[in-house]
Order: sequence, then C-alpha cells, then structure tokens
Amino acid sequence: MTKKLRKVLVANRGEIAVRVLRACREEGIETVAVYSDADRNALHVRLATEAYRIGPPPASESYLVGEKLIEVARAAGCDSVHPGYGFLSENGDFADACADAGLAFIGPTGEAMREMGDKVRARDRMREAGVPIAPGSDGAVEDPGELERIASEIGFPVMIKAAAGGGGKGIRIVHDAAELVRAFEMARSEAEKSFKSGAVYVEKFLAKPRHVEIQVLADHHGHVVHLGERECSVQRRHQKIVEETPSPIVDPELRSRMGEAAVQAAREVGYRNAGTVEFLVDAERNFYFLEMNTRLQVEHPITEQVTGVDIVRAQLEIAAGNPMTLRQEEIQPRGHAIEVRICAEDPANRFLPATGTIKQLDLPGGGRVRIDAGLYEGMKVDVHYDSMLAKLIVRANDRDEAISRMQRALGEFHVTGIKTNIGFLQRVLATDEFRSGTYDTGFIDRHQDELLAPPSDGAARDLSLLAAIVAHELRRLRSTAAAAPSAATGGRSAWRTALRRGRP
Amino acid sequence: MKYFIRIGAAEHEVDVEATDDRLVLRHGDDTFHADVSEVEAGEKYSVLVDGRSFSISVDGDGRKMTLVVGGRDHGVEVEDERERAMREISGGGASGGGVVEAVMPGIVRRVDAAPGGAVEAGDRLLILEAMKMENEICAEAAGVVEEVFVKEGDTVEAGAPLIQLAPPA
Repeated sequence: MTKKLRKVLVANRGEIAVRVLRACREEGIETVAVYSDADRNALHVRLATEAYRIGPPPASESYLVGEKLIEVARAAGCDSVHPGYGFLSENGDFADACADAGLAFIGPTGEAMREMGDKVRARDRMREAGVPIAPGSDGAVEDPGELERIASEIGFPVMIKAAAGGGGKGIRIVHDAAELVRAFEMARSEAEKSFKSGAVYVEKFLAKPRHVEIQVLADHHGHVVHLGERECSVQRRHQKIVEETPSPIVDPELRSRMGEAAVQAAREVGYRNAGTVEFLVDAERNFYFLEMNTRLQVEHPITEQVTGVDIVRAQLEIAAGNPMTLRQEEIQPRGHAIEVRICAEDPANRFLPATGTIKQLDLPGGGRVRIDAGLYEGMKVDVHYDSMLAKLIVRANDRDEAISRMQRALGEFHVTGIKTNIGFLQRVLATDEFRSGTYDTGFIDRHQDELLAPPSDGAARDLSLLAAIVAHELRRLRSTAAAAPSAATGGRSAWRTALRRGRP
Repeated sequence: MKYFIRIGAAEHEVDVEATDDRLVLRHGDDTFHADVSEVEAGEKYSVLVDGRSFSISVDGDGRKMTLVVGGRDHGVEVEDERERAMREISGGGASGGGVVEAVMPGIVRRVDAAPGGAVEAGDRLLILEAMKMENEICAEAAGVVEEVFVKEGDTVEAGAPLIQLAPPA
C-alpha cells in the first residue's frame, strides 16, 4: 500500500520554495505557500495552490516564526511541512512542534537534528561511529586561555566555529596567536546573534583541503543509501559558489568509502529523509567529517542530474512513510553536472550585497540547462533575505563539455537593475585551475586579482564602442522625446512614448 | 559627436557619426561600422559591429549606465563633448571629505566610535550587518570623530552618512 501526502505547507521562500512546490504539483499534492509582506508577488506565492501571509519582511517576524507556520498549516488542513533549507530547516524544536501538531515534517527527527546541529556533539558521535574527524577541541571552548592552549597544540591556522553554526556561517579562520582573542570574541558574538548560542569550538584548519559532500537518503524502515558526492571547493568566505559532480578527485573506490562513511554517520543518529554529510579531503585524499546538513541542500540538483533521482520527490515519498525502493547498486552517476550560484552582489566592490529591482531578465535556454530560481521582472531584491538569485545547472557527457555548456549558458543570462556575480563566475570557470580540476577551497582567494582584473584591452575597446553606441541612441531618443508635443502622448510620458516608438 | 567613456580607471574616446543607415565609430586609429537595432526601447539593443553580433541589455540614462553583454555586467560612465565642455565651464564639485558612508544598505549592529575620540587607521568604527554577515567598518586614516550620525539598531541605506571624521588634532 503506497501512502501519499495530501497537502504540504512549504515553510520557505525563493527558489527552494518554488523547487518544492513543483515537486508537489508533479506528485499531485496540494501546496500551501507562506509569505512575508516583501514576498506578496513572489513566484512561490503564485505557483502554490493556496498562500497565506505570515508577517512583515524581517525573517525573524515571518519565516522564522514556527508557531505561525504551524497555525497556517493546521488552518489550511495540511498533513505535512517541508522546511526547504535555511530558516527553520535545521531547527529541531520546529520539527518536534510539527510532529506534535500532527504534521509530518519532511526531514529528519528533531533529535537527529540536535545531535548533528550541535557540532561539538556531532564530532563525538562520529568518533564513536568510526567516521574520521579532524583534530580539534573535545568540546566547546569556554575561554581564550583554553583556546590558546588547544590552538598551539594542534598548530595554526585554526578554525573557530559556532557549535550551532553550519552552511559556512559562524566560521573564523585564525592564522596566528595575535588574532586569536579578537576572533574568538567576534565568533562568539556572531554565534550568539545568529544561532542564539555563543558556544564555539576549534578545529585544525587543513592546508588546501577540498570540500566534498555525500548525499544520503534514509527511509523510516532503516534503509539508507548514498547518491555519490558533490565537489564544493569553489568557495568565497566559506560560501559555495560553484559545485560539480563527480568530483575531479573522487574515483569509484574513494566514492564508495566516503559513501559508506556517510551512510554510517546517518545510521549513527537514526537519520531519516534527505541529508548531506560534508567532508574535508586533504592532498593525500584522506577525508574528515566536517558536518551533516540535516536538510535539503542548495546544490542538490547536480546530484539529480547525474543520478536521475528526484531528491525532493524522494523526500515526499519517505515522509509519507513508504519504504524506499532504491538500491545502492542501482545508483550509478552518469555524465557530469555543474551548478553555479548567481547572487545579487558586486564583485568589484568587495562582493557587497546588491539591492534593487530586476528590470530585465533573459534566461538561458537550450538542452541540458536547468534554472532553479524565484526570479521575475519587477522583483525587488532587498536586505532581508539571502543574496542568491538563481541556480544555474547544466548536465553533459563529460566535465569539459559541462564547463563549455555552463559558459555558454552564463553568456545568455542577462539581468539588469541589479548587480550580479555572473561575470565573476565566467572568469572562475575560465581559469586553468578550475579547468584542470585541481582547485581547493583556497582557490578563489589565491586568484582574487586575476578574477577581478579589469577587462582585457580588446574587451575594453569593444565595451567602449558599445557604450558609445548606447549613449548615442539614448541621447537621440531623449531629444526626440523632448521635441514630442505632450498632447500627442495620450497620457504616457513623452520620454516613454519616444522610447516605445523607436527610431523615427 | 565625441563620447568619453570611463570603464574602471580607464577612459576611452569614441567618435560617433550617424550616416543614413548605420553609425561610423572611431576609436584611436581604428574605424568601425555599426548597425544598431532596438529590441526593447531604451533597454535592449542588438548591435552588429562590422558583423560581430552583440546583445546588450541596458540600465541607465546614457550617462551612468550598466551594460550587460554576454551575461556580464559592466558599469560605465559616459560624457559627450558638449557635456564635458559644460562641466569644465562650471567647475567640478568638491568632494565630501571625512564622512564615512554606508557602502551598502544594512543594520547598524554596534557603534565603537564616540564623538571626540581619536582613531587610528584600521580602527573599527562600527559594525554594519547586511544579509546576516557582520562587516567591520574601519577608519581608513587616523583622525578624530566629530559626529556619529547613527546608533545601534538603525537601518541605513547605501550612501547614508555614518560618521564624520576630522583630521588628527
């Protein structure tokens, strides 16, 4: 007897809410979206079966208020809640509260989340389970003196990490003893505010590591499989910006060992639903447990592209209580997939988050190109939420073909009204280090100058020609507009009308 | 008409002459012929420069603009010869001097600077949080804090004045 969810509350916004809504609709499951005042026009509201307001724009008064979400879910007659990623997705209390309210939480249990969410505790559990971990503190570090002692023991550089952190947030790298105390205080204050817990721990910072993670799926009947790895070493300030699978350094033998470790990690905490076990891999291809993300991951689409498994649909199946029919030996990655994260930011101005309204949007097309986004023309991008605008994903027969396809697709991706990192991503993909697949997590920092260099002479000359042409056209249109009698414009501004009319 | 185009630190000079059906462009010793077609009024153009095809998305008024070409956005500033002549007659404006401005919209999380306090280059003045990241705003040079325009918890827009600094006493 196959069970099925009937109506899902999607407790998120942006591209991931859209992603989940789409999967539900394909499964014939009704959907309920929630929105803050900033998101009334958002795509996830428009694509859902029903949508309800939950509060003002700040997430702390809307998407992070668990009671409101549960209230909406109950009032709308939902039987389940999908948390997406970010917001409440890794909040064990919220998962428990959903369960208490009779709603199936589409994710792991609150207890499994807490075990993995407390990074100090997770390290202990993994050590017990025989999953390799990096050298560091045995528990949380309470004072600077203790921190100094451990740091000198394991050697600089070290990472100070928030025990409740994750996803690259709440991490500080410290290169020598002089920076240690200030970094410790900043890390604690940031952790306190972001995660409501100031507990931090310290771990050896591995030289030139690669960040490789394993996707796992676990049902409610003790069956756990892994879907292979994702290579996520292209990072800026610990935020992933390009992900690919397979990893250039993972062969079938290493994949199988890492996969088994990830399955073991999941079993250790009684994990169920989709999750990701992150590892650091050193130059000798030793791997160490970093953390487990107890939720759907931003970069999950690349795994879907090479395995053919729809991870969100699998999540829905699992949450309904059905046994997973997928067998480990059936999972064979085919081809290569790459994802880039297109963000509203200004690479030329220290990558500061950009705000504005999207005026024009031209999305790439063609075969084997996938766009997961909540974008539309007229969308306001403001400071309240994450700066990621879209994920662009390509699939190909091999890595070189995937890189060419991604470059091609990025070239077609035109956004105006807001600055984006598209040009930066193009340069990242064009470097020898990326093309050769030899990069590590220090790659972006090492190549910063090259990646941010002004355009080459030829490109700058072409750009100056195009700028002159556009400037000339706009001045010509403006003078036409000024000359046009306003009575003839039928209520429209003369400027706008002249623009619409085009060349005389 | 001559156009002066600023791209980053470099300035280019391009002469544009309109003929019946196309534009003739001169850049240094090189001459180009361009066919310009409007795809969307004021916003999108297809340009063929001696046959080379460019699709351009435009945001701006023809002076300060962002052009998106091949996915990549470029900030450019354009002045034509008449505008330049006008500006030279009226003289350039003076710069604001020692006002530290918000380089991005955000929320003031902490204010370290106090009026009358002396600061060294690199000293933290305040912490501005944007999109969940804390950013330390530090003094670029030594000075004395004259005025603090914000307090903890304030939401500021990009360009908002934060702190007025005076040269060191």
